[in-house]
Amino acid sequence: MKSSRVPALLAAVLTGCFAQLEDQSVTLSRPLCNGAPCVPGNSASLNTVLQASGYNTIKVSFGDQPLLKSSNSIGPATVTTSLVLNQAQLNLKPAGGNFSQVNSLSLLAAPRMSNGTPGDDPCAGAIPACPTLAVYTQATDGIANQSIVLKGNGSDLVAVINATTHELIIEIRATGNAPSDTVWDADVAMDMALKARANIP
Amino acid sequence: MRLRKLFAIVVTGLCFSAGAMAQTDAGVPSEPAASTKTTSKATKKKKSKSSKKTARKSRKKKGASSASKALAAEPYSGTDDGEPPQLAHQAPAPGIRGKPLNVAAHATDANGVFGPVLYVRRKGMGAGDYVQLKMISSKIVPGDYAVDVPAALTNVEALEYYIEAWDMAGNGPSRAGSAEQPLFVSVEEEKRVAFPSAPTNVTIKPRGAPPAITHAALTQALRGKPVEINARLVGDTGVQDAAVMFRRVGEKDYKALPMGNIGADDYTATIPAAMTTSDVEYYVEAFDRFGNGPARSGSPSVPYVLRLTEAGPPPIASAAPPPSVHKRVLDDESDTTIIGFGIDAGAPGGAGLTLLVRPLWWLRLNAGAAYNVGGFGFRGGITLSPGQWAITPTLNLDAGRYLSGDVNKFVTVTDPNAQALLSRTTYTFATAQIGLEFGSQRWFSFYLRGGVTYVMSTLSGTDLTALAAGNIGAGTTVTMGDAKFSALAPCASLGFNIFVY
Repeated sequence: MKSSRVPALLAAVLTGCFAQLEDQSVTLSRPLCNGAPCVPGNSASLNTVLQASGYNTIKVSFGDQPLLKSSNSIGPATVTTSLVLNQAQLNLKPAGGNFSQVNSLSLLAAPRMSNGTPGDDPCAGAIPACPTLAVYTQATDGIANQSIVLKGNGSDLVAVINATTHELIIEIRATGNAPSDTVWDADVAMDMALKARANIP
Repeated sequence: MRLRKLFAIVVTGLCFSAGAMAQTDAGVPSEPAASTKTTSKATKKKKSKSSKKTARKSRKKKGASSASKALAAEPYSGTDDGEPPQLAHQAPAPGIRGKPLNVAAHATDANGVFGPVLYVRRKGMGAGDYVQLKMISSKIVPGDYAVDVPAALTNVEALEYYIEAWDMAGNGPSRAGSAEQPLFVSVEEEKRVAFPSAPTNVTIKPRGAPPAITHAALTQALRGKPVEINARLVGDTGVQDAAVMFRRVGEKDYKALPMGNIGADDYTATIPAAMTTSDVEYYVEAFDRFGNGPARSGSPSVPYVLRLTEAGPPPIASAAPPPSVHKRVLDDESDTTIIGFGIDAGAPGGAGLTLLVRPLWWLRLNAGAAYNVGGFGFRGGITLSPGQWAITPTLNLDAGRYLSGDVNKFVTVTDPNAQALLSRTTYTFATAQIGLEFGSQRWFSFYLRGGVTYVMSTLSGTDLTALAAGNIGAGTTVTMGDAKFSALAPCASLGFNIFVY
């Protein structure tokens, strides 16, 4: 072997070095209400009641995790991270009610929290437009019961998590009617796949 | 290697058996044909059973008379004059050491001459050590016969010889010299003529080159047992007159022991048990077919010394043989040691203590314990060694698993959840390395290796959940499944192997 090929071979080997962490199931969950059920029901228009109560947005704090940056240099390594939303789910509380009157439901990454004023939609007219993270459509996904499963569209949440506060504000948009309960609550769960890879150098 | 040797031994044994049977058949010429058949068959059965053991001995005993017996086996149909051949011989000029020596004779007989046969030995060897060389008749001068004594036999100061001839009717032998009173011819060093240096540089390359000898020097053997000496002889222009030159310590002259090819480039010769009564000095030499050489491993002045013990291990190759100009293999007998152990250390793999097993000369298997300060594990692998030289390149493939590991010994974290996660760092790894091994692969070698290692680890979802929950915001719960960690990283190690059995 020519001596000039040795450094090239070594470089090729070293260029391929990496360290990688994968977790296919990272689940974050938080309720719409802090405590007792708080969202009005009575089969009213779901979007209206969510906006009127200010529960159309939720804030999910991911905490100061070192990996939750799209690109991060640690020593000679460059760490790239992705947090892809597999699916989201709304699980109705208390048991007994259902989401069968919900026609569609979407989760969007919102720029701010709702102020609770009826009709306040943080994503309305937002520039850039709020990216849609997950979607449920009764026509294609079937009638929901106590849970609504929203299919993720492969969005990388790292890109929409606030780099300073490490928070993600999610807006819930819906069509159809709320559950028949007088007030209700739901856990919003997001199932994500985490992948962090450090390429060396 | 073992299969090849076994095959060679079987083939050699069959050849000796065939030779012994052939001589037995020729040894009963005077009996009627019918009885000859019966006797031959009976003799064949008996002889074939013991031929392997006695073939060499019977060849020596019968060697001097085999020609006459072979002649007597075929009845002579012409007129028998009853007289042996007229044999004339003029002593040859002193030979040149390391070169073939031509010996000529003139033999005539009215019934035709059978033979003649030259019996030659190194000066000082026993009566049973004559080597037979059938003399070839001249196509130009009727009655002239000649033969070349091989160069392997001429690396001494003198040769002793005699010549026998019979006629076609079996009369004889006529002799020039005899086994008891052989003729003598001295062998001298080649005189080198110094030429004045030429005004211009003219390089004349001889045709061909001596073969390269690779040989694991033996240092120890059992007294009174035959000692097999092996060497690998590689030459672009062939190999000829390969020989083991040996002598007892204290003796002046070396005896030549022609080496036989046992396949590919491997040659072997066995020093007879009768010669291993005291310590032996030896060296190996060979020429190419153009007479270039001799190439040597060891030399007449710096021979290998073979210590003979009453009891002990089988022949042991020297770890540090005398210097030689030839590339030398230290592990020619590598297949004789198959079990050993190895100790190594490196990063990031840690240290290991492994049992080594060598099922093939080019393949080593290892398995043992691994330790990386953080914890203990096990590992195993293979090492491919494409050559057996003093510095040997290797390809090493290992895999293993650390069953325990506390990475907190290497990093400082304050989060108790992180500490809990790091205290249970088990992982599986696979390593591919190339390296160089220095020393004898048969006994002891030191090595340096470098390559890449692939690491796989599963991190507990419970530990990860606890760790993430400590950083997550209020009101949010997190649940994590088991995470997979993998890495490909450079690695290096050093260590040594010792083969003990």
